[in-house]
Amino acid sequence: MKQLVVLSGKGGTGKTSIAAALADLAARALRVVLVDADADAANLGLVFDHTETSVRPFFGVDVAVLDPDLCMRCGCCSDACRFGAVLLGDPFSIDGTACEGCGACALACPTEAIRIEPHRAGSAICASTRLGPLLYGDLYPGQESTGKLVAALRDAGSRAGRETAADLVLVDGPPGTGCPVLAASTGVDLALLVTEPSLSALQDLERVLDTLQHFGTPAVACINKADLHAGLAARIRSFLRRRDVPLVGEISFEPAMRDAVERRVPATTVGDEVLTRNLERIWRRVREALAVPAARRTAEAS
Amino acid sequence: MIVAVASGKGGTGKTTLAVSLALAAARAGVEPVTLLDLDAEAPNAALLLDPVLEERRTTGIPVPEVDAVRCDHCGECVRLCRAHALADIGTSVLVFPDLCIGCGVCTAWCPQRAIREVDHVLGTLEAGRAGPIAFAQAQLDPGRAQPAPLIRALKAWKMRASPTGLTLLDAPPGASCSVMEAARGADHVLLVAEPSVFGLHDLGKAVGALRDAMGLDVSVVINQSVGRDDAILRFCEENALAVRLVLPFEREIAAAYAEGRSLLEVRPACEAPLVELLLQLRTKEQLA
Amino acid sequence: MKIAVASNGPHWSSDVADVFGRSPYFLVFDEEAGSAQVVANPGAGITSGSGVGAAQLLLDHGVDLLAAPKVGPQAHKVLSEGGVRFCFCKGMQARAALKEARREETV
Repeated sequence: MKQLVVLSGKGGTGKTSIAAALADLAARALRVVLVDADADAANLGLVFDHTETSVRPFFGVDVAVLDPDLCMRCGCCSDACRFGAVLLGDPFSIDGTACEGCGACALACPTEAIRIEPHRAGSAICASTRLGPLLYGDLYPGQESTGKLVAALRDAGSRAGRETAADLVLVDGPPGTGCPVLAASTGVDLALLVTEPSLSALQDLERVLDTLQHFGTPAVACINKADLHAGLAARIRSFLRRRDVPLVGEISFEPAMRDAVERRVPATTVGDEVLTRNLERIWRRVREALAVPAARRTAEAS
Repeated sequence: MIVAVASGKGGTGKTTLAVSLALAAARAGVEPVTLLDLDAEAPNAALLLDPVLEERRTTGIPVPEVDAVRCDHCGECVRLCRAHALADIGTSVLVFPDLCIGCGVCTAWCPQRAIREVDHVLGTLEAGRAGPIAFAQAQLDPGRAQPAPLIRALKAWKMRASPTGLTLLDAPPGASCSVMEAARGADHVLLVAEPSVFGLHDLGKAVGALRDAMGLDVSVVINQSVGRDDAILRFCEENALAVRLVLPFEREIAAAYAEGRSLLEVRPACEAPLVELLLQLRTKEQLA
Repeated sequence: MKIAVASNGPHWSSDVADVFGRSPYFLVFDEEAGSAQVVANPGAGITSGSGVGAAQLLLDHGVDLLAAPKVGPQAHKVLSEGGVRFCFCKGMQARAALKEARREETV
């Protein structure tokens, strides 16, 4: 079983659209599990019709809970808190959006009026699609710890992969370069970077590559909207060459990708031959880099 | 007036809008105009503004340093640390600054008072000017995972409330705690949304975080419209969200942004609607 | 010698865990006493610091040898400085990992 993560650095490069297209291609011949690790903006489920099979509560960072009946309003908690999470109102209360769950307030409180408790921050959801299981997260608004939810989704994805004897776990990663990206990338066999010809995308591509190379994760890349800016596309190609990142394909800036999103289907099913060919080429090269077979053997070898 | 510019989804045009608002305000004679790029993981505003950066400082969090002589390996610090940033291997105590959140608990509660705090650098803050606009940005060092302390530090350093001026906060994309940290203290939040299926879905999350969870005043700017905005307009109406501006998708604008030219540079006609938008927000404040 | 196997389940027939720090259990085999213990990993649900927490747990249980998949740099530091030896095991049952670890030790 192999694991692939699709990343971008910069948001809006077409990562989810391309991940969905590759999932569609992969699922034609292999058993796949899909993980949507972009818990802030879980969009993969918008492309594939799905029915929920299980919803597990997700507990984020522990938070402080203050009991006003025990509270003497001495303010020791507020003095101890470095994150400005104690609100000195009437009664005292904790600002859940600022609390880091460190426990400083609970330790400082002379009347034990504060407890540090697990706090439900959302759900980890398993669903079934025509392609296979889909794991995604639903974080309650304003909650922290997307990294932790991503880790929970990755673990659930690996479990589902083992249970279904899947050939591939395909992870649609989050944008950015921080902790959720790290959590989405640990233990994967390959990262596919989706970039576009703009200065900001190039800048963020470098940042995410630095992070991946820091952890020793091999990477390949593709350029979406490649004809948007010829000069910058050339710069990206030479940057990838310098960093030894194979370029596995390019896609031009077409309404077809956008239309596919609007129709909520993978871009490989809208009948645009050129686009489909380019996506198939990308999938073929990703598959080779992953050393995943082209098709599952239907009979077990004896 | 402090205005945060955020978006649920990345790549919607948040930074180009924030920069264009700053430029339009400066041209309209607003003074002082400040832009803070709070996308500490991936700051891109400087590509559009091309500022001259004159001030620079590193910033970080306090992390523990254990005095090996005073330490009696009671293990209390390891037990108390909720971030798992400490490990007692018997002969010494190991500290993992990358996991530490700087809460100070271990230092305050060590029975032998064997721990002191030292500064652990997370990233760099830079400040300067782009013509009449005061600019500052935060950049997280590679491999570091926490943007929130940098966002707090940049705001503490360069965010000033001014009765006559305008401060624009270019927030990171998404709806998580770093976005909330960036938007905290803003008088208004402009949420930039794409009128696509993905964009609308992500807008909902961002509204939940910034308006429902934090109680901030939130309104919407629709960007990259292709004239099929029914779904998003309906959503905004159903959720009592004012739509301040609708900007069209144009390939030329996208190509110009790609090479570091802002919306206002490519479409100077946008200046009047942008100034109008700011006046709307200012009026809202005066009525409140 | 005490050998710990990072395990997905509380049985010797369970699979070796995928990620050391988030391993739900550690099965600890004590060679001298000829006994085994199931240690639940309280940090199994976290991301940040799970490796360090799990490594500290093993040190607290006096483990000498760990059989697990790849261990991250921070946990590795705790284990190696704490004197815990490491045997790389992946994609097998816990009992097979124990056998592998004991075999490597006698080589």
